[in-house]
Amino acid sequence: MRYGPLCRVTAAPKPKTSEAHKRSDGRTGWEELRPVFLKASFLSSAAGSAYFEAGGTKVFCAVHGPRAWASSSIDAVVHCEVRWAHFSGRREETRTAAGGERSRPSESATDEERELGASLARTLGTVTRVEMYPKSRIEVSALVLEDDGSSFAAVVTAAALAMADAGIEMADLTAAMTAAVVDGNVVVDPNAEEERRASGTVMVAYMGNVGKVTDLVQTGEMEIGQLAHAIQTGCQAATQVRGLIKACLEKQAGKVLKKRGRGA
Amino acid sequence: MSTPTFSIVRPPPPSTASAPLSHIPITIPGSTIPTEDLSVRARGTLLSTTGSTRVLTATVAGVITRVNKLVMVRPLRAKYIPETGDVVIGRVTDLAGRRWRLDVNAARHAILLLSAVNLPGGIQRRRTYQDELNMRAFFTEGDLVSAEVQEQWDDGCVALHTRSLRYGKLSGGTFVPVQPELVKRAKKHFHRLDCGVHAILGNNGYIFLAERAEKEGGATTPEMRKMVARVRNAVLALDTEFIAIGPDTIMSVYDASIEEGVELRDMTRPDITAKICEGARSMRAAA
Amino acid sequence: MLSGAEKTYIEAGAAQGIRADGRGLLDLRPVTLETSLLPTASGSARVRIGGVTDILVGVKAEVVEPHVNAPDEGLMSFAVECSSLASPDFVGRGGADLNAELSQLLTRLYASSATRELRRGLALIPGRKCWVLHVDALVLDSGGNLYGALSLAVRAALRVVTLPRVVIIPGEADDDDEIEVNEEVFERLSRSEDAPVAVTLSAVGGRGIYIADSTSEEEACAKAAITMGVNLAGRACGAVSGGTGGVDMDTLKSMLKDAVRVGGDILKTTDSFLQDDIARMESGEEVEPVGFFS
Repeated sequence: MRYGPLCRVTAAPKPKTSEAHKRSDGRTGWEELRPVFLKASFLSSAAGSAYFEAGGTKVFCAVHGPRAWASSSIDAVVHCEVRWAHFSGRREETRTAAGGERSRPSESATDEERELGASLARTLGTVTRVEMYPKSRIEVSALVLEDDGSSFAAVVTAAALAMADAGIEMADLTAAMTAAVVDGNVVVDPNAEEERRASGTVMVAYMGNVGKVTDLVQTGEMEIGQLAHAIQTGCQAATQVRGLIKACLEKQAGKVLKKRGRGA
Repeated sequence: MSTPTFSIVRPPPPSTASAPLSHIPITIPGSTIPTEDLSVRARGTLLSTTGSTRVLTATVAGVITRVNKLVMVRPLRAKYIPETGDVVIGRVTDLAGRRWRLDVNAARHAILLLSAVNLPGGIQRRRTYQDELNMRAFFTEGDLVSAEVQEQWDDGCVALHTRSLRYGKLSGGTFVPVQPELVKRAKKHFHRLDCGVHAILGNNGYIFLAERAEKEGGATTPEMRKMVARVRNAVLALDTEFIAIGPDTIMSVYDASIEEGVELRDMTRPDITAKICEGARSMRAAA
Repeated sequence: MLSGAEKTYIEAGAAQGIRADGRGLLDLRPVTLETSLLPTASGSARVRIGGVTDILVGVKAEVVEPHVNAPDEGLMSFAVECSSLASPDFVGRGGADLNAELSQLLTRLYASSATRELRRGLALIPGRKCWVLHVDALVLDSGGNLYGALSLAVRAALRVVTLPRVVIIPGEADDDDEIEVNEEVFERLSRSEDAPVAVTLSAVGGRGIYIADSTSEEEACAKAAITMGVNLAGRACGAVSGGTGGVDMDTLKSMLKDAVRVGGDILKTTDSFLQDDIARMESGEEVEPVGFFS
């Protein structure tokens, strides 16, 4: 069953100039994003790969396939796996320090990782032209190396870039962003400390050109008005991130074409 | 026993951001492609409706290419898309019924029917029940086979045939996979390089290098083996530097590596590949 | 998957002393090495071999209680994860088994008396407080010689680990001593040069023939293999055999000698390469992280 996009976001108004609000990492605006570093094609063995870094959050993503797959569905199946590495902040909370022994990181995915894998599969399944790859399987593997907040949004963004890097046909590029309610204010791209303090967070995956929200994950408690505002702000920020993916792909294209020796 | 040596290098320094090539129409998924004629479109594009207008949108990241009236987007990292007449190398993944399935580096497996294979006893020999039972005797799982793309079926599957004497099971050499777009469609895919090494350049990016053509006899000498290894490393250097792979460019890198005195084991070092590929690159840029 | 013909070519080549990429039997592929890539880790390194095997290691330190059996030593814990980035096949039970095997190898390499001084350097208050080094390794890509790449990355990371200076504040009674961690001053890990590297020699083809730093294709042809931890003193610090088929005594003895030779080469070459990185550590120069994959 294919899930359609969730709701249509009307034309995004220009972001209001925010008052100077000091955040724990030195940012001065509720809507200010951390500087983002993106890189595509860093793994030679994968069909496509991407690396995303913002603040202390570092995420890798690799795409394998499309590969032939005997299945009942005619359309391609997008299978996603999302894991947090031992290095990341999140897994450390499950370590015990008794005598230096620690709980062996569970080899099988935690329930949360599974849920996010399914969520990512929905987003990518919506935007990918699965009818172009009959009876095949696309494997997407995402790994959170370090988690300093907004990590699942980073995963979605990295996955979109990796899919584009792999040359898999998509109707649009998805970018994602987290918005959190901290001390009554809606802040965008929260760091780990802000996420811990937040009373509620919402992650949105947004198709910039088409203007539709393809995934929404909300945690904690939020007023409806705040939630709507958070979604709107999140989508605006996601559009900014989409622009960064675009720039990254264009730079990548420039590099590849230069290497080919073709100037014109 | 050779003295063990190995080299450690640092990764190459961060690339200086080059100015984007503004004259090349690069696009990304979701971007609109300006076009007058919406009726003719190909891979990498999608016709969508925004409000009351119909627009052509790109579905991959790549270069907008217009051929006559056909508008398409060529992806940066192209997956191999089989076309009838292509010469490919495939690896047998399984067999059943009267057919083998092969991996040809495409999204779908390729099929090789028993009826499409050269059998001993002549081309026109009827396929017997015995043949069907002995399929593994011809090609078994893991075997490399050179073949030609015979036709494409509706469901996207591709059918191969090995009905010419030059096609068939490959042995006496080494397999080298490269990016498919670096092997251009050409008149010849079976080459005997100047150094004596035989190379089969599959359109699908699968390459096989052997010290001699299949049918000749004799054992491989260490000298021949070294030549094959040098050709292999030359092919991989071209792949890293993203230069088209053909007999001319392979030999250019081969000769350059000898002139520069590059040891076999050092040919794949990141700092060395650029140097030995300089000649090959200018060869292709001029073309 | 390899064809019988490819295996024959590899085996015949090994018998003649020439491998498919032109290397001699004990030659190693070019290695790319970088350290200090993870700013939040006490030490980190990334090793790529032949462009196809890719390992990332991060070391994090924590203050804990030492083991009751070794009160004057600190601790080291190892966890290896073969990520699905390398291959979707690394997911599930097969991946879990491989993770366990690789983690065990590292534990074995660092458990002997060869690294006792290193572990003693991690002790703070005997019997009460010590450092534990959590060594986490991530396999990003797998193209043969995982053990070698892994141990090399771990050693490189340990060579650049710095720990905050710890001051012991004596208390009223003997066991009232407390520690104060000075987050401003960092010191290198002492005796990190004792860290071993693992050398794997795989028997390919005929009797008495074996290769070092095998590619995935060569590993598919190999029958038996020996992996040995080697340190600067030229000693064995943990060895395991692998594969099927067994090795005859003469070949085994020969393999042990060659493993020490290859290991020594790796240790010396790596250390002279790391001089710059280590010198920077000692001078206390700030390393500006330039983004992971600049």
